[in-house]
Parts: sequence; structure tokens; C-alpha cells
Amino acid sequence: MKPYAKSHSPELVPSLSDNLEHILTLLGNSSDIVYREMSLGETERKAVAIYAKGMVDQQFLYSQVFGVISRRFLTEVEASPPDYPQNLKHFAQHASTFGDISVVYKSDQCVSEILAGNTCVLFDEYPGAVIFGTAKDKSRQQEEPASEALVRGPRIGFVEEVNENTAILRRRLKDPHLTFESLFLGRRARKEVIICYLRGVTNPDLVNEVRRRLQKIDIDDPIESGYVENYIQDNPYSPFPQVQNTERPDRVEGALLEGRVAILIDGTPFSLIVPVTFPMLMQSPEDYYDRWIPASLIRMLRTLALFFALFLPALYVALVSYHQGLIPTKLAISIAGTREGVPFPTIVEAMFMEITIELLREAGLRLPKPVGQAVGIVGGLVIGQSAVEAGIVSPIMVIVVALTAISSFAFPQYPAAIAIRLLRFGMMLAASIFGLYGIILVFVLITSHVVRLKSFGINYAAPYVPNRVYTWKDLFLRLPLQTLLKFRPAMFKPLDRNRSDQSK
Amino acid sequence: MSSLRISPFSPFQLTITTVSTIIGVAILTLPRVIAEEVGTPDVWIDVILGGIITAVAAMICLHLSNCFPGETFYIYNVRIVGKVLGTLISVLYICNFTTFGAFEARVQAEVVRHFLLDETPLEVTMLAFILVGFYLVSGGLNAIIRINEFYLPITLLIVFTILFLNWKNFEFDNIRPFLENGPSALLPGILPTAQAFSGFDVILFLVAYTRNAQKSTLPILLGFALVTLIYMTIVIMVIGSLTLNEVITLTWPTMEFVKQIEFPGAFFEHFEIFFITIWLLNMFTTFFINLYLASLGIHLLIGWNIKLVMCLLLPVIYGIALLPKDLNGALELGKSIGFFSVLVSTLIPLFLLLIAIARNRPKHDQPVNEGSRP
Repeated sequence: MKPYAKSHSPELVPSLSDNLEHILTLLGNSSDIVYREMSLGETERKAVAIYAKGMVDQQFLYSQVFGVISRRFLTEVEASPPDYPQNLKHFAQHASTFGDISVVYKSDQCVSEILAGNTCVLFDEYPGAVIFGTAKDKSRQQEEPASEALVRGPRIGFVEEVNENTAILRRRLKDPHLTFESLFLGRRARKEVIICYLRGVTNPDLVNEVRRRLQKIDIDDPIESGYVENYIQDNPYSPFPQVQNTERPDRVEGALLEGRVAILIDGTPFSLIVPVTFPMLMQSPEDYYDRWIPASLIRMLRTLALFFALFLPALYVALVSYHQGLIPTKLAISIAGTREGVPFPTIVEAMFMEITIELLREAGLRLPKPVGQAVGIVGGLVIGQSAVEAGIVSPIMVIVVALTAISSFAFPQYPAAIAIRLLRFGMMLAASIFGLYGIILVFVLITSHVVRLKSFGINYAAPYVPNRVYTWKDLFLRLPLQTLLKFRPAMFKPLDRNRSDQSK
Repeated sequence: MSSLRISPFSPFQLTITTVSTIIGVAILTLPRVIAEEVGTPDVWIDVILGGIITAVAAMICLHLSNCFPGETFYIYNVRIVGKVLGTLISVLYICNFTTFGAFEARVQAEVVRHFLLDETPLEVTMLAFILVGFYLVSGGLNAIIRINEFYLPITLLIVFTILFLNWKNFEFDNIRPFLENGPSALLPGILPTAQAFSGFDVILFLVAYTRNAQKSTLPILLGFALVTLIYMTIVIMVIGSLTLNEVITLTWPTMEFVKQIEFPGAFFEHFEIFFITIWLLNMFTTFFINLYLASLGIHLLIGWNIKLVMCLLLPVIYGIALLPKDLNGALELGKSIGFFSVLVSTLIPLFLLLIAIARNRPKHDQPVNEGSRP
């Protein structure tokens, strides 16, 4: 609570006006804070309720809280005046019919409760404050996340309210071992962050490491899960994402059952999952909902998409500028024919088209949906067509670039696609300098980086490397679930490896 | 070794690393090299013999290392033969690894110039190769082992692809007759084949970091079987499809062999260019481990930071790689290194093992005064 540390004494005193003044200085003169003064029954004693407008459930506040203070208080507290403070405490703790009521003795606690949407009531001659839980649940409708749409699968996504999200998970996974561990992040914002794992399954070392890294974060406000991700990742200079983010509860559920850890952050529907490896980022939950043959074929298709997205423009550049001999003669002639009028070297042509398509994608992303689509069509068709007609690029280049773009859309998770998009440009530059040799040099660099990279102690290339034949059942192929779901993946070192009785 | 901690790996990973180190440039020239020595088409028998001999040598290395659990060769050789001789042996190995790394860098540059970039100077491609190699090696031994695991499936895939696609060019008559000049005629071919297997001495240095190192025997033997199988099939297929007389005249017979491949749809011509591009990965894996082990040796001898040692080794390797005047010079260098390496890596471990046994303190022994673990 560093920002409030300037205050004189944090303890409340038995004087209403002093306490009020103290809290007033802490809260400042915000227009949304309401101070409501009340007389307590027949006596001269007064009480002041403080709450934040809009964050409290007003209906509940007026009918229950104020009603109780003004009516029942009379009979239960004022009946025996000398024991007033004890009575008040007793009333708050035992006699009231509220579920969520407590007494606090520190002003900064009062302030944080008020800012959380609760109502704080101060009384005359009482060195404490009664907190009524009046916070309003204001979560939006749960809807299918737009960033991770599936053909088949639950139509539900996380919302911005972290308590709602824990409830969604609890409803889906009614296991008493499902554990939520709460901590607060941000010097100013005090956002609730919840570490979520299966007790007795997830390796405690992993949970401790996650907790340690989260506690080390020192920022004023983790606005989005991306802030947290940036602080807990292993290597901030890597192009690869080392933390998975998702809006899908089913994805989190699957991860928890594998022995991984999820991090839910208040104020964003994106939760984080650690550890993650590159092959995992190439998978979609739908792989497991489909039957295994189509799912395996789709996995292979994605491997092909990865190859295209990374290598295709670079290969084109290398073949056309250095190794024309590799292209079959007829094709080489037709490429040479189409390139006849093009005044630039292949790399300039390729860069021009690649940058154009990245621009189009970025433009389409930021605009409202209908306009975005129009931009895509106008950009794709018109620029492609007229660039060819104007003789700036060759038609084959357009095909290559289009195929590459489509391939990078086929990635099931956006962060992986971005990493590959980035590396593709390095690949193209290397191909323009060294041809195929440049491509293999960059490939060695990328793979060197990947094998050196770790995500929370797990090799980033797992389960491809370290190779174990049984982990490959769920890599390029996805064999029937009966064979996969006997054991949890060993790479997360779960405490309990068995997932079913079949494994015994 | 604080900056690069080594976490233990499995016998399987030890085997993969050994296999990746063995497989390198040798496969490109092997059919010609042994055909020149023997002159008959049954040279594949030499490959099997070479495989068996080197497997025995590898077993000696393994057994010797297992006598000193948890200690790498650079440390325990001092305990067997004393400080002076042990240091001398270590220096010998360091030189071996350094020149082998340099040779690998040079030959890949020659290959690149010959097949991929005929105008780019050797100096540039070698520099790029060495620097890219340094990036991985500075990640430590575990990164090297993981990248070997990464590339080995790709290597196997490409080997079996070229064999499969060349199936229809294979003529059985080309590899007959067997043993035309009697078994003794095969003898001169054994040494060059054994050279193709050089690199297995990494076992001496890696067993120290292997979990359950006692159980490595079977995986290592299987690894040798795999390498022998690959070499043997390549030699049989190359001679069977190109004929012995043609093979002798070719510098890179395996490349000519791959060149014959024709895809049905003819989408690719010159498949050998793709083959050599991917094969560069194997030259990288050999280079990685040589650079690492040379640096490890210097690090253990002098105690300098291992990354600093690597940086200082790079110009040395670059300089050695620049020495040969042309391709033939480079291949000659390779021949002498291979000869030297085979002698060193079979005879020295054998002698050391004999001495260790003779002194009757092979297993789980109290350390003597002169050697201590870092």
C-alpha cells in the first residue's frame, strides 16, 4: 500500500469527525464518492456511510443497509448505552443478517474496501468501521471469443470480471483440487491476479515459480494480461511468445488437466497459461474435439502452413536470384517471361509485396468490421491486379505472397503467427544475400534460438525435442484420445501422471 | 563453469549426439574414397568392417569413461598417466577438435561454392558458418544436444528419401562380384572407412554428464548400427547406380547419385541442391560439438571463462580453415586429420584403459592427489 503511506496514523480513532477527515484526505475530493450522514435513532449519535457511486448495488444499499442501520440498530445496539462499542462489534459480527459484513480498524483498509465497491460506515465514538459488502457484479454477457473461434466447441469465453471467470472454471471443472490463489498486483491499481492449478497434479515447483515471478512484478497498474506476460516471460528479447494467452475456458481447462498453471487477471478476458512450447502454439482445442483422422490431417496441414509461412517467399527469392537451375526449364522460362518488364531485383519485389500485404492486414484489423472487409478486398484485388499490370511485380510473386499470407492465417494462435511473420523477413533478406545457403543459415539460427529458449523450465521445442516416441503421438499426428489420455505429458513433471484407470 | 551449467542427459541423447557428430561431410565422398583404395564393387563389406572396428573402439571409450563416473576425459586422464602426460593428451585432443572444426568449416564452404554460390568468396561463407555456429555453442552443451535431436529426424528423412527416389536407378549387377580378389583385397579400405566414423570419441567427454551412463552400451551400439546402415546403403546404392568406374572419377559421388533423381511431375530439377542445403545441417552439428569440446578442454586446463575461450577459438579455427589452398588441399587436410583422429581415438583410450586396469583401480576409486574435479 505504498501510495497511501503518506497518511499520519492508519488506526481509526473514537471520533467520527477525525476519522471522516482522515478518510477524506486519503480519498481526495472525488466526485463519485458519496458521504451519507445519518442520525442513529433518538440519540445524538451519528453515522456516516461512504461509498463509490456506480460501484455499489444501490437497491441493496438503500433497502437493506440504510434500513438496518436506522431501524435495527436502535433496538440492538442502543438498548444498553454503556456497552456501545462491544454491541456494535457484536452486531456486525453475529447479529446482522448480512452475509458479507466485517469490521476494520484501519483507514487504508476502509479506503480499499470503498474503492472495491463496498460501503464503509463510520460511527460516533467508535474506533472502527463496519464494511457492508455491497459491490455490484457488473459483468457483460459471456460470448464466444472472436479471436479464437471454433467450428465445434463451447460457445463461451472469459469476461473482464475475474470472479466471474473463476466461477466459469469452477462450473466446468468441479474438482475439489482445483485451486485458486489470489494476489494483488500494481502499486496503484491493486488488481486481483489469480493463480489457478490442480492441487496434487501440477508440480509445486512450477506453481512456486509462477508465484515468485508474479510477486516480483513492480508496476503501478497491470492494465492487460500482456503487461503481466511481459514481466514473467523467460526471454524478453525472443521473437517467440513464451506465455500462452486465451479467452477460452475449455483451453484453460485442458491446460490445467495437463498439469499446467493458468493466470487470471482482473479486468481482462485474456488469461495466461504457462508453460507453453512452440508445438503447443500450433495446436487448437478443436484438434481434440474432432475425430482423430481429420484432426491428424489438419495438424499436418498446419505443419505445411508453417513451412510456407516461413520459407516460401525466401525460397522464391533464392531460386529466382541464385539457383535458376533448380526450377524446371518450362517454369523458369515462364517466370523469366513474367519478370521481363519488372525493373527491380526479386528481393525488392518480394519486400514490396510482403510489406503491402502486412499493411493491408494491419489496416483491416483496426477498422470497423464492414470497412475492414472492404479494405481487404480493395487492397488485395486492386493492388495485386494493378501492380502486375503496371509491371512492378510479377504474377508469380503475387501468388507466392498470397499463399504465404493464407498460410500464416492458418495458425490457430495469433502470437505464433506474428513470430513467424517477423522471421520471414529475416529469411528473405538472408536469401537475397546468400541464396539457399542464407536460408539454411537463418534456419540454424532460429533452431539454435528455439533449443536455447525455455518457458518456465520447459524446453521451447518440446515435445519435438527432447524426442521421445510416445510424445510424438500428439505432435504431427493426433492419435485417438484413448491412447493419448492415459498419461499426462511428462514434460510438465506432474505429481500424478495417470489420467485414467487404463494406465494402471 | 557457472555461466554454462550442464544438466545431465540420457544415454539416448548421448547416442544421438555421437551419431550426429559422426555423420558429416564424409558421406559425400565416402563411396569414392573407399572405391579408390579397394577397386572392387564389394566395398560395402569394408563399411561393415569399419563400423564394427569403430564400434569396438567406441566401447573402449565408453568403458574407460565408466571407470571414472562423473569425470570428463580431460580430468581423469591426468589420474591415469599423471599430470604431464595427461595434459599432453588433453592438448592433443584439443588440437584434434579445433582442426576438425576448421576442416568442417572449410569443406562446407567448398561444398557451398561448388553447388550453391559459385561467386561468393570462401572467406565470407566460412565466417557466416563459424559465427552462426558460435551462437548455438555459446548456449552450452545441452543446447548442442537438443539441436542434434532436432536435426537427426530431418537427416534420416532426407537419407531415406534420396534412397527411395533412386530405387529405379539401382542395378544389382553393378555391385557384383563379391570378393573378386579375395578377402585380403578389402583390407586397404578399412582405414578410410574408419575415418568416416571418426568423431565417436566425443563419448569420452560426454559420458561424464550422462544419467545412468552404465546403460549406454546398447544405445551406442544401436547408434553405430544406424550409421553403418546409412553408410552401407549409400555406398551400395551409389555404386549400384553409377558403377564403380564412374564413382572413382567423381569428387562428390553421392551428389551425382542424388542428381539422378527425377521427380515424376518434374517440379524440382537438381534435387541435389536441396539435398546439400539440408545436409549442411549435419556439418553444423559436427562443428558445434568440436568447437564446444575444444573450448571445454581449454577451459578445464587454464580455467578461463568458457565463453571467452570460444570467442578466442573462433579466429584460430577461421585461420586454420583458410590454410588449404584449394579443394584438394582441403580434402587432403581432411584425410590427414581423419587418419590422426582415428589413431588418437582408438589407441589412446585403449592404452589408458589398459593402464587403468593394470593399476587395478578402475572402479569407484578415491581420487588421487594430482587430479581434482572443478
